[in-house]
Amino acid sequence: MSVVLIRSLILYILVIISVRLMGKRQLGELQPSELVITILVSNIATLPIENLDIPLIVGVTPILSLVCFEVIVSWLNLRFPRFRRVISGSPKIIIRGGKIERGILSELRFSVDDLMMALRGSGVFNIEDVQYAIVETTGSVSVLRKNSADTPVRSELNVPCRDSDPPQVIISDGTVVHKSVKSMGLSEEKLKKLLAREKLTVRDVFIMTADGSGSYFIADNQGHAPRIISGGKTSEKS
Amino acid sequence: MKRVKISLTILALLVSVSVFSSAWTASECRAITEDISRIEALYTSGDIESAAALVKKANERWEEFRSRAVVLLGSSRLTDIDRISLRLVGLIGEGSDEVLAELNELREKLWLLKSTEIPSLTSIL
Repeated sequence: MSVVLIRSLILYILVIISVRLMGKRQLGELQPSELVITILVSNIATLPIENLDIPLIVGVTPILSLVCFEVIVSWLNLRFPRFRRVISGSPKIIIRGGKIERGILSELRFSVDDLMMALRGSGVFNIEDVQYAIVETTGSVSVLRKNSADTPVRSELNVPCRDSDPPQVIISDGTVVHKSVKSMGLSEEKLKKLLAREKLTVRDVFIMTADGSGSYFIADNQGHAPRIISGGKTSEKS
Repeated sequence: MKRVKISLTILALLVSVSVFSSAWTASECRAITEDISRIEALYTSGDIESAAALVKKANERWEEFRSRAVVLLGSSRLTDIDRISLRLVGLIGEGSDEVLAELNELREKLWLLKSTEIPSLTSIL
C-alpha cells in the first residue's frame, strides 16, 4: 500500500514536470500532436501506479520520452513551416466574402449544425453577419463580422482616447510585488510616501493596483470603501 | 530553447539507461548461458559434484543480477528463470533425470530475456 502511495506521488510530480516542460501552449487549445501526447501520458501514468510488477523506470520512460518528443516537434514546427503543415495542418477558410465554402466544409466533415454552433460560440447568431470565418489548426473557429454588423470602435466614432497597459497589482495582501513596482517605473519609497499621504502602511493594504497613467486603486484590510488616486486627487468608490 | 535543451538531455539520459540495460542484460545472460553449457558437459560426463558446484555458482550470479535487474526489467520477466535456477540447485544434487531438460529450458528463457532487451525488428514488433 505504501509503495503505491509513494509511486503515485512520484508519478504525480513527474506528470506536473512533464506538463511544465511542454509549456503554456499545452494548457490552452491543443494542436493534434499535443492532444495525442496528453491522452497517452494520462493513460501511461496510471499503469505503473496500479501494476506493481511494472518497474517505475519502465513507466517513467514512455512519459518522459513522449513529452521530450513533443517539445522537439514543437521546436521543429517553429523552425520549419513545411514540417508544421504536415504535423498541425493548415487553417481552412469556411466562409469567404460572406459566401460559405461548401467544398471545404465537407472536406472538414463540418455539418451545418457544426458551423452554426461554432459561429454561436464566437458570438455570432446570424450567419448573414459573417464576412470571413476560418477553422484554425486547433479546431476552433475564428470569425470576422461584416463591417455593417460589427461594433464601431472609438477611432471610427472619433472619440478621443489614450492607449494604456492594464493596471498591475503592486501590493497584494500587505506584501509589495516588487516586479510590478519596478515595471510601473515606481520605487518602494515613492509607494510608501503615497500610502503615508493616505495614512496607510503597506501592511494595511489588501490590494493596490497602478496603471501607466498614474492612477492607483487602494483597498485596505479594514474593509473601508476602496480609494482611487488619480492626478494626485483621492476619491472614494462607494 | 531551454525546454528543447532539457528535452534533449532527458532523451540522452533515457537512451543511455536503455543502452546500459540492454548491454548489461545481454552480458549477464551470455555469461550464465556459457555456465549452463559447462554444467551440461560436466553432468553428461558424470562429474556431478563439479556440475553441482557450478550450478550453485551460476545461481548466485543470477541472484545478484536479478536483485538489481528487477529495477529495470520488472519482476514478472525474471520469475521463471528464478524458479528454474533454484530448482536446478536441488535437482542436480539428487542426480535427477530432469536436469538436462531444466538446463535447456533455462537456456531458452535466458535467450528470450536477452532477445527482448536487445532492440531488433522482431523484439520491437
